[in-house]
Amino acid sequence: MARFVLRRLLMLIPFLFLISVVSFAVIQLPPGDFVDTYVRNLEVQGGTVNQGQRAAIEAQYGLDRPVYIQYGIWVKHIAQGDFGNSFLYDRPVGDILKERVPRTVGIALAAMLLTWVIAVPIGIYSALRQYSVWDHLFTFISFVGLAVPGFLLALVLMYVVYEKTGWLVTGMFSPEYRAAPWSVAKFVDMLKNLWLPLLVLAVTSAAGVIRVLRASLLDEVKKQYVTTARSKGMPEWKLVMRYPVRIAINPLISTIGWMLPALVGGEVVVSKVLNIPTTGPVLLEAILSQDMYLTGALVMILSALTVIGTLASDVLLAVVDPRIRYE
Amino acid sequence: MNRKLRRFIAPGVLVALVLAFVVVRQSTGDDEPAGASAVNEGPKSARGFLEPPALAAKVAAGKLPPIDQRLPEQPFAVGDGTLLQKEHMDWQDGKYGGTFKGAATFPTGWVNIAGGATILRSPSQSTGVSAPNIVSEFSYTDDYKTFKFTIRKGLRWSDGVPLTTDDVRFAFEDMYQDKEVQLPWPTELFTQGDARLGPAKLKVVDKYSFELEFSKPYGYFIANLNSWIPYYNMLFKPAHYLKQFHQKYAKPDALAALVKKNRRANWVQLITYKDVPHWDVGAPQALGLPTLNAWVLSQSTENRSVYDRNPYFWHVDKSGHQLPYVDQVVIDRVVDPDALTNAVLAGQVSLASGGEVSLNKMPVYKQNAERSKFRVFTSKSFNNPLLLFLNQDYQYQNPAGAWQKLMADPAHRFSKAVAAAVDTEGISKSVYFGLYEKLGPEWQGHDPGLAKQLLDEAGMNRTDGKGFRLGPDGKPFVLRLTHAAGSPDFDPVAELLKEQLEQVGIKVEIERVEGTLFDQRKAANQIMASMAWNDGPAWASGISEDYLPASKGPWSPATWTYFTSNGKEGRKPPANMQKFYELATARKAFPPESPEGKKLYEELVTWLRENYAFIPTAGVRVTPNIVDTRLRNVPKEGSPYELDTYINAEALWFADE
Repeated sequence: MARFVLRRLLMLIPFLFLISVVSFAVIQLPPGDFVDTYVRNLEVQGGTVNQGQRAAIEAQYGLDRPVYIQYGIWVKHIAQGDFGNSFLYDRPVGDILKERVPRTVGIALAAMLLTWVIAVPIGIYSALRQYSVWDHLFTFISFVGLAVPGFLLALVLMYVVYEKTGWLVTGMFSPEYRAAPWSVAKFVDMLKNLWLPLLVLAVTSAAGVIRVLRASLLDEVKKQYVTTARSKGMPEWKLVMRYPVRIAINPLISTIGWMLPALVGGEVVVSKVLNIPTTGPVLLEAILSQDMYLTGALVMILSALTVIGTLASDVLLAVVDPRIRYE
Repeated sequence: MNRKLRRFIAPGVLVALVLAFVVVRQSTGDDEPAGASAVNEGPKSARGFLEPPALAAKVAAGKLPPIDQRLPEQPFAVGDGTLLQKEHMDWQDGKYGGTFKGAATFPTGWVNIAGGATILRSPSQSTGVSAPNIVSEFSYTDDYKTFKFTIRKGLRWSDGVPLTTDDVRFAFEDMYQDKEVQLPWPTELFTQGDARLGPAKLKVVDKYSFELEFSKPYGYFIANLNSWIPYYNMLFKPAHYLKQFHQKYAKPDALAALVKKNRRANWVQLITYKDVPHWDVGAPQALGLPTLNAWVLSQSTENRSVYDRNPYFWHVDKSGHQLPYVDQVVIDRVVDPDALTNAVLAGQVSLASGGEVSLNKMPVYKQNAERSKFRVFTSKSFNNPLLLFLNQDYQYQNPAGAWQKLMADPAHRFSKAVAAAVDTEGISKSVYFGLYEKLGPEWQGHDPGLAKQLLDEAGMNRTDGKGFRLGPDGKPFVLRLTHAAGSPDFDPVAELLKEQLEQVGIKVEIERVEGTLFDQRKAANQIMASMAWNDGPAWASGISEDYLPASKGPWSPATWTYFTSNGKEGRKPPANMQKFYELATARKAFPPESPEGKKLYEELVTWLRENYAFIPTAGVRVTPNIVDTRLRNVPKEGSPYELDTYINAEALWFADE
């Protein structure tokens, strides 16, 4: 087991190197560079930039050098633990990530937890009471949940809440708390603003989980070992929870791997709609303005998360399901 | 078994219920009302000024000199008609206090425009009055070649250091002309704004007086001195602050440490980074930068910028207040324009104008005005409505091609037909609630019959199976309309244009591209027709010059390249274009609002109109402005520029309500 984890972790290194090459290449694909974006924004505001000034800005950002040299400098710095400077925010990329990644992972984990709290009981109930009124109702709701995109749900909820109460979700904190140090009041304010995005993320992903759990549990409860156990007089509650549910839950665990990056990347739209300062909107903004160091770092981190997530789910699977072995 | 199962399901359902409960409960929170409490106006100082209460504690503690010592000998007096024309604002001397709340997608927010520190000052977006602002005396020779300035004595940077000619000398000698820094000259400092004619020559007379000399008459320079776009920073740079980043003045060790701390590659990069243009005054690198503006950046993080009042700001009102009235500006960063709109609707913004608001959202602004305690009024705009540009240089290497045949027509029949096909009032009705004004009689009006006739005459009299006209070369003809969707009205207007042009038989393809791609295509002369807005209403005063052929929408980019490269590259201007370049150049010799300047401008716009450099899609633009209901000294409904809401920010004050 330890060897397996170690090997997988070692594989991360060449993998990330490849990702760095690919992501750097991808950033170079769209026409223009950050200076184009900068000059454009400036001109939209009314300013003008002449040839000399443009060349000076390019030199300032190091964009006057050939691409492979830019890449070399970038990789060299990363090896020293320095992700470079974000053009867009004019701050070290490391600082931006330090601020946003924990926040994003926090929200993602909370949303995942909420998803499971909602979905697992409902999934189990639906499978055991197949075709009951509640099953139909939950099935209906989860299909709606699958079909409605998160951002739409966010918009509708935002609108309804605003119409009913006059309170508009405009960020993670109300303006008066944005710069305040952490306090109980600030935490309460955060909960006040955060329940909506959490609910949106949870509801949209719960739908899928309910369907998966229901389907796999339906398969399990029809198997003979269940019938045998039941005929031997095993209490139903103990029986269901100990055997079929444990097996039915496997597909959920194996999806943790891609749930992590999906939650980190997938909340882009929701975060954008609700103005939450997570990594999602930064990634989008960085790509749009061709802020290559910021984009590169984020793509690398998302890729690393995918790999780590897959590893975590493999390990978890082995823990939950003794039939799985690493040989 | 059922009971047991229920016991298992119960917690999940319970959690869901609690959550739903929380959902309902949590939505009762109210936004705090912005705290602009009534401020006691203290006793007047010996010189007759009122110490702002926000600074009183610092003054009492001896950390800041009292107001009499902070203001210049002759502060700039602001009153009725100084910042905006009398007819567009009723001036009332205000009172100190309050915070402007703002939201923006970039750290600076509207403060880049509200700086207020121009070298000369004329009301609103005009440049004719030229009241000495940063300078106390200003004169020029009759040939508009030599300009003389005397800095306002006792005027200080925001850190208390006096402004002197050393700051000007530093800008010229140690920035623009320094062999290593080589800070590029701003366009405005080139004679007639033309790099080929060389930059201004500086002559420092004494501590306060200096002269600038140009090689040719350059009256247009006066407009630049009045304009918030080039700003004071082109002449005055805080030498005492920037010297610590300059090799000539700094100790090598200290400089090396600063380079490292600021993550720059070398000291030249560091000093150009720290010499912050006003577009970026809210960005982190502007922290510590002394300014001459009404507010000084005191905090800049990823999520928020805060500006505090400049204790040394040198504008006063007639009752002895030091401007600005409002103590603080807080700009919260939002992820995108929609989030900005939400902040506006929720009343989290004290004022919003320009690109922060949009006419198509007027209904929701109105709906939420009362609840969120703001007021909406409309004004005209710094910008033209969306314009249609036909690129006269497109495929110029192929004079026999359909497009060049149409463009080379001396009577401009094709362009005129396009103009006649556009129903500007229809567009205003469909997209702008009919609020955009009617097009003046000097423009070609809506006349589809005329359009068809002109197209027939221009050689597009044959049609394909679907009724679309073939080009003069007999081949299928498509007008490709490229735009970069700069605001929400681009898409609907493009669709309407397509519909209207197709009604007279011109097949149109709309191509919406990303902004930087648009710029690249423009530079490569690959755009056939485009849609964009520009700063038309600010052309007359010389604040903007974006009628130039390769500006917002390209209409003759290749001749512009020829012009700027001295004929080395690009297309030699055809005969009719020669006239344009003559006019555009001749205009530079005079102040734009002088009689000669006005006459030349009149000729220039007539030329632009008659040569169909651009075709308006609607009449004069009307745009919303949003202000906190308590704000006073706000421009009136229907005033000429929405940007005046920002420009005038130092004069705004919060009344009790």
